[in-house]
Amino acid sequence: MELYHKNIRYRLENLAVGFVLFLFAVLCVYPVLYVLFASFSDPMKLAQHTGLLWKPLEFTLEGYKVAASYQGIWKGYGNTILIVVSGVTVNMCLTVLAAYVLSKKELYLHRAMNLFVIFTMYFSGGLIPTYMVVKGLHLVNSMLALILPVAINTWNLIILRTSMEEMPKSLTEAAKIDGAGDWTILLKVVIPLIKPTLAVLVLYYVVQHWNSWFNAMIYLQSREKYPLQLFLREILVSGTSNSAASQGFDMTELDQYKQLVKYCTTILATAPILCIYPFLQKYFVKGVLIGSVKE
Amino acid sequence: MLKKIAQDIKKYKSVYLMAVPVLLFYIIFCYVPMAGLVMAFQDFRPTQGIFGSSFLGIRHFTDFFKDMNFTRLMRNTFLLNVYDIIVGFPMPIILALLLNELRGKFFKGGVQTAIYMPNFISMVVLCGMILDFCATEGVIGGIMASFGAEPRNLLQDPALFKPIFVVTNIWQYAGWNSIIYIAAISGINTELYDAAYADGCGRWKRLWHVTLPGLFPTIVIMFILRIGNIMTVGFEKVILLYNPLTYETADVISSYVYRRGIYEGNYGYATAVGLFNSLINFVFLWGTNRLSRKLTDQSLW
Amino acid sequence: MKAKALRRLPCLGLCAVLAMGSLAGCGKQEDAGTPKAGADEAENSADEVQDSGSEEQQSSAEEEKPDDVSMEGVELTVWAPAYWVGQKMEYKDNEVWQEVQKRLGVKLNFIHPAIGQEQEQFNIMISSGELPDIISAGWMGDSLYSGGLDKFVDDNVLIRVNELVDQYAPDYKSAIENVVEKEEQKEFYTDSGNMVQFYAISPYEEWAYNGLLLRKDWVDELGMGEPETLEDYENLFIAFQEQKGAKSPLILPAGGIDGTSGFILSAWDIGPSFYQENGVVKYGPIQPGFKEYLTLMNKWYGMGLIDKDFPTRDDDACKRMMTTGESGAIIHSPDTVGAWMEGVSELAIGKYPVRNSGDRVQYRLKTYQARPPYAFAITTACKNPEAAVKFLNYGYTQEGYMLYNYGIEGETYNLTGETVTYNGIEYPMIEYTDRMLNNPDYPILDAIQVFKVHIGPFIRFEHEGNPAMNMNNAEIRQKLTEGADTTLDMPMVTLTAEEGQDYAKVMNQVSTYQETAVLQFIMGTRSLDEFDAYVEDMKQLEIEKAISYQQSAYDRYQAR
Repeated sequence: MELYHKNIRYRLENLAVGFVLFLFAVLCVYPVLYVLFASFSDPMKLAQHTGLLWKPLEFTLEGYKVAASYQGIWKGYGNTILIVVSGVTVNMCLTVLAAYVLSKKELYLHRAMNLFVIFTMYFSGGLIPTYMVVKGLHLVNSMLALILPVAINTWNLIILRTSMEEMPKSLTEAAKIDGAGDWTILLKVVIPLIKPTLAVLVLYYVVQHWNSWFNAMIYLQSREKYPLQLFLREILVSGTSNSAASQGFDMTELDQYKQLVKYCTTILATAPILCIYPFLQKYFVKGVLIGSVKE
Repeated sequence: MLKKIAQDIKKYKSVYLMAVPVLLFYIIFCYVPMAGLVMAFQDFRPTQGIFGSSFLGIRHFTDFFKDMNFTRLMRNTFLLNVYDIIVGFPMPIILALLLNELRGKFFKGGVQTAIYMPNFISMVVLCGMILDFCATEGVIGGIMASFGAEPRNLLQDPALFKPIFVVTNIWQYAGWNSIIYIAAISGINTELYDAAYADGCGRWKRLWHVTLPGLFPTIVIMFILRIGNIMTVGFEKVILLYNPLTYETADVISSYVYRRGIYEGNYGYATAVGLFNSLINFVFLWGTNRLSRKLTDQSLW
Repeated sequence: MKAKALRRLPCLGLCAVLAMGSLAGCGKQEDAGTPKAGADEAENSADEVQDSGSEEQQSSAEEEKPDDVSMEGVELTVWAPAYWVGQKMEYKDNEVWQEVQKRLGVKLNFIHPAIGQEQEQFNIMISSGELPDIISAGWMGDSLYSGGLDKFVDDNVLIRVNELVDQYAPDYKSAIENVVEKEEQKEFYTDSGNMVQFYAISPYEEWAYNGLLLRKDWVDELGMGEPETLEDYENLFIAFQEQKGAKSPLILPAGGIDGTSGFILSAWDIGPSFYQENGVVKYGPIQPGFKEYLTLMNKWYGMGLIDKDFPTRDDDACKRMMTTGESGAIIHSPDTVGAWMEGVSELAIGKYPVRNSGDRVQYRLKTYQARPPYAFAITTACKNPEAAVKFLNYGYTQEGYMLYNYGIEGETYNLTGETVTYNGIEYPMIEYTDRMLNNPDYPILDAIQVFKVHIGPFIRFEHEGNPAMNMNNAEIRQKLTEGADTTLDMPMVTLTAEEGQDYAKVMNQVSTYQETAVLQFIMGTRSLDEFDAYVEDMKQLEIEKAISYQQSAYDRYQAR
């Protein structure tokens, strides 16, 4: 084993793998860097620029100043955080319950219930009927309308169910023999074992809530409750040529800053989510948890 | 049968109790609105609602089949997905496997964070960059020029639309989609690796005999789910990247529905085409699932 | 600096136009520009406005009749799209809307759909039956109501207001009769004679906002004179290319044709889409003249006079090309391009190109006196339509339209004492104060959202009242408006709901096919010998059915 590690070929392979991944990583980081550099650039210079961007074109904070002055953008931050925290809590509780139920193959209704759930991934009533249901529950213009209708993402549910099914049966069997009920098994045995997958789901749900704007657009009437992404979206489409500009406005200011503000808001909206990533990432590190459980 | 269910419920009381909120969610927010699918058979008018609109039968469906662009839409939608599955599906797995071979916690973490980033940049901004890069005076044009080729706008060439779409898809999503495989790898019992070391297995053997088998269930499930989306292409990216010169190879069902849905406010038609689309997807899903249950013992239901 | 100075000039520009540019007038206005701050003064002037308002209304019907609708305690919910993203974009933060509520004693609750999603939210609102009391169409205009206004009246969404207007909105009624040209009064009624909307009324035709724009410095330096014929233009573009180093002198609109005003193709006496010739509706892109247009564009494209990538250029790209000298001509809005070119070059307006010198073009962009993008309708959910009508009527009284157009007297504007006359009616002239024009807290586009109303039910003085209009470009826009006739233009026709749905279906197919074909013809990937085959295909796609729908809508309009 020791010998193998010192092997030159092994090292070369490692180097090659590192190099390939590094290249891909650069390719992936670049759009973020581009947006970051653009957000600090002089609007006029930016407009005349073509091709790649490796540093801000004449550093300026103008774009951020304009973006920060927009009505409601800070409130939007608060709303988004509120929705993410409460939404993800609901998501995780329900998804874990659902996954546990669906992973129990011994249930008579096992297949039926799985099909029942998966069917909804492909067939849905669409916009208007869903709206009518939400309206019937008196959830219009309530934050709950952004949480309850998306309380379970079936795709995520299936991922979690699969990882529960993959768990060694012997562990739950053992617990059962010890007299543990289903709740105990779920909380004490299953959940600790599937922490990496749970971390993935938390990340998926956080991002889903963080990026969603469509439901907010439909269900919220009061701008006080708008999440950040809806503001971002408005900024992206505001002042386009089919509206204000064509109606005879000197859109100099809006037009000059539109580009810039677009980038600034993107950065403002993305930075927080990139910050929580490292906290979840530690759960992915191989062997941290599973290694401690001996079959 | 009812009796059996009742017995089952008695036996697994707490499990079924857990199922109650879940089923409630699916019934209220998924199955009740499904009544709205009748719109596919209606001359739906927003002002009259679902109950007031008159019935048309299957006219929306026959309209769609008779549409002069029908074959073109079907072909483009299907081919884009096939290319995306062939090239795009393995990419996240390869990424996850490569990452697994990487030593050095700091570098590994950095690479992981990096490859998720494009997922967070909004589609409008990303597609703006793609348009820029593909323009005559863009980055790719510049590279072409330095090789002595005549620079041209790549997105005005119908033959290049699908390759550009698929390659940029990898750029956007491969990293993000690799998360699930990375998590699955981290779930593999380390004892298996230790045993493999002890047996003197090399890198490739370990990959082949430990990592891949450990990943296999996840791969199969993801593949079934992917096949179940064989006729799904997000319209936003298509609409941002296509232009009349590339309609021939770029126009897909969702972009078409978007145009007709928004432009005409024709919910009934949009629902009908959507339903047709879902049916094809579901048939593919059903088929793959059956096949998988037979061959690999993995299945969605 | 320059931009700021120009912004001060809206009234001044008008003076120049009307009073033959008397320098004295300009000087006087400069003086009046000093801000009149101070709470006391502001209050005084507010009182003044109210006094003068009632004085001036003595002739109007409202004064003679007993006030039979009480606005006390009335609450109205108004659904209204916001203008654009800004510091204070909600109507409730707008000083004018606050003042209107104070003066009328009515409470207005505004609901704003998310910008860019207005149509979606509107459709959901209608489908779910959650109606506000009043709907403002915003930028969407009448197209918000797919199927036409009559349809929405028949479906019990909007109410017909003819009778209510007769009784409670005498000023709106008289504005239609006196301010609007006879021929255009039809626009206020639907095909079946319903009056549904309170349209903002423009006392004149607002200037066209789209045209062929040239770099003025280049045109001047080349000294080739003002281009007039297509040949002149060709030579000018060649000169741009050879002497000014423009890589691609002309940027065509992405579709290959100027759908807004029909520039260049109108030389062949056709329109870019539907147009009418002596009452017969025709479709431009299948006319023989269109083939000639394509032939010329194909030739220019081959010569490198047209940007190679025009089908994929967005505004950002166009802006780059114009400002870096890659291009020198573009078909676009003078305001937008003027803003881009600030500090690079002024713009020269390209005359409408003609085939033979001395010809005059018969098709251009026309705006109507009824301004559909600024319209308000009352829904069936409104419990007190009388009060709603009375509220909407306010903007057509002098007191009301002064407030909506310019804000609060003494705070955002002062009267200059001069007047301007349109259709025999005199209107007071004003000058904005620094609070509007040079407010350190609110850049001009924010100031518009806070201090005045841009979209509202009132007599709208866009040329005098828009503090964000760049006067350099106003001159261009004026020339664009005067540079061609509108003999071939279609009036504001409406399709019935049945026609509308089938029409949309046909046009969807037609335009998808046409867009590709036009680009292929211009770029030379399809031979122009196939033009006849293209026309044949268009007929296969039932373009003639669409023409016949437009024809019957046109006939109905004539019969109103």
